[in-house]
Formats: sequence, C-alpha cells, structure tokens
Amino acid sequence: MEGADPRPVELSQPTPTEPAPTEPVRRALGLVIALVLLLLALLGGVGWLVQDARTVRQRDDARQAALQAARQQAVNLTTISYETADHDLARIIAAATGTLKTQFEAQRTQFPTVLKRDKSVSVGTVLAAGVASQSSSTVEALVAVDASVSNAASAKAGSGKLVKHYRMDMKLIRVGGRWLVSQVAFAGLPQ
Amino acid sequence: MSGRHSRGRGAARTPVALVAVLAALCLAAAAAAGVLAWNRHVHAADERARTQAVSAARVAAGDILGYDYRSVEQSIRRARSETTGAFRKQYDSTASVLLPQSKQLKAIVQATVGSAAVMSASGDRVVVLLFVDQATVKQQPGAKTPETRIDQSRVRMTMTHTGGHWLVSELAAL
Repeated sequence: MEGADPRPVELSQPTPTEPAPTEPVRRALGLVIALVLLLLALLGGVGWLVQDARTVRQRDDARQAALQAARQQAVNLTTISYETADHDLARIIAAATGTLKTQFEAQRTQFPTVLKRDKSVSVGTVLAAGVASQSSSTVEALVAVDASVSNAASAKAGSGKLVKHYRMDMKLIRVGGRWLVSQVAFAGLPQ
Repeated sequence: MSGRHSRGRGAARTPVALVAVLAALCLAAAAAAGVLAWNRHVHAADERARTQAVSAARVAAGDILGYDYRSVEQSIRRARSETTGAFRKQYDSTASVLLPQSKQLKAIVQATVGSAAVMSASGDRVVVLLFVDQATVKQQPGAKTPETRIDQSRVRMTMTHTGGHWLVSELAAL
C-alpha cells in the first residue's frame, strides 16, 4: 500500500513536484555559502582589527614606558650627593646607553672626587615630562626638572640651597625590552 | 514515501539551523568588528589631536609670549584669538597691563619655541610641554640705552579643541 500510494501522485504531477524540493534546497545552499563567505570576510576584518589594536596598544605602552624611563633618568642626573657619588653615578650608567653611557663612564673616576671636594648635594624633582616624537624603537622626551643644590661654597656663604631649573631633551632607545637614555641635551644652561 | 518525506524535511531543517547559526556568528563577528573599529577611530582621533594640538601650541606660545610695543594691539588681538575659557579671562587682565607698559618701556619680546612634547592627550584636551626662549629688549624711561635679557622657560599649555580649533585653555610657566 505504501509503495503503491505515492506512485500515482508522482505520475500525475511529475513536473511541479520534481523541482519543488530542490529549489528551496538550492536557495538554502546559496544562502549558506553567502553567509559562510560573509563570516569569513568579517573574521578577516576582526583579525586585522585585533592585530591593529595590538600594535596601537604596544605603541601606547612603549610611550608610557619610555616616558617613565626619561623621568627616572632625569631624577638620576640631578640627584647626586658627594656621600653616595659612586652609587649615584652607577645608577645613571645603568639607565644609560650610547653617548650618555660613554660620557658618564669616562667621568666615573674623577667625578666623585670633585663632588667630595665641593661637598655638593643635588636633589632633583621632575615638574613635567612629555613625548616629543616616537618611532618603534626610539623616543624623544622633554623633561622639566628643578634641582635643589648645595655645596661647600654655598654653605660658607650662608646662602643655603639654590634651585636650578633644567630643560632636558632626551633621546631614548629600546634595548632588549628596556628603555635606556642615549643622549641628554640641556636646552640652554640651567637657570 | 515516509523515507523520502523525512529526508526532505531533514534536508530542509538542516539548512535552516545552519543558516541560523551562520547568521548568529556573522552578527557576533560584525559586533566585534564594530567595537574594534570604533576603538580604532577613537585612537586615530587621539593621535591626530596630539600633532594638531602641538603645532597649535607652538604658534600660540610664540604669539602669547611675544610682542612688539609698536604693534602691541595687533599682537594682543592675535594672541587673544588663540585662547579660550578661563585662560582668556586671565589673558585679558594681563593684556590690559601689557598694553600701556610695553609702550612705556618700548618693549620688544621675541618668543622662540624650541622643543615641544605631549604630556597627555585625550579626545579634545592635550597638555603640551614647551621649552621657550624669550629675548627681551626694553628701555626704562629716562635710560640712555635699552636693556636686553634672555629667559629660558618651561611652559605647560593645556590645549582644548573648540569650534574646530585648538585653543589655549591654561598656560603655566614652570
């Protein structure tokens, strides 16, 4: 019975029933393919955007890290006491590279002697710091520093502490994940 | 018949489920792309703000911190147009003193902006650090020769984006 039943139906309407089930299937298949293509395109776009966001975040992080390194080195350069000269200079050298490092390594032997003779003490404070320019491995930073300075001569004169105003223009280089200061230009003499 | 039927229904059901899943995934991906694209847009605007605010700050620093007694009205007018908010009021009171005093002292101040850097940037507010050299020539009344001096200053300027322009909303000599 079951086998005999559909036959007349199929025979009576052969043309409309034959394409009827395949038409929606074909349409559905087309829709599936279109959606898959759309999804692939969207995922491609998301992938690209994620990569781009990562680059942007790395750039922001690098800017902050370099600025922090610049601030610290500005403090190091202006916080030097005759009592802890060796340690203070070692700290500057540790955060330096290139020209700056060479300069301080060359002065490492005489500088503490001069500081001890003059009994000089300088304590620096960063007032402001900013990034002037940035590339993938270099940053130029400006730092405004005030240093309170005293030495044997000022103590004798009874003038006490003198405040020096510095303008530092620093070049930083990323060396193995750390930002080191390679150059410091004092924009004008300290006032 | 029943075999054919169920296969036909099954085939129709599978694409419906598949289409629904794919559509949902597409929506999710589109939403993710939308959020990421918006963040990218915001960040690109911040980057643009940095460069625009710094160049506006350089020009404004030169105009606000420099003047020539022979054209001081014009200098003040130009400098004033580069200020906004609380700093405009502050500048106005400074200018009212500057105007007679600069003429009396025959003062010429040239402000040269050396380096400039961004301290912080967010949307329509950028804080800029500038190293400015001010060369002053002035002559006290009755003095035979003019006196000159150079001031090397550190200036912090807050730039605010208003009406399509980056204007000075705060200025402090550090």
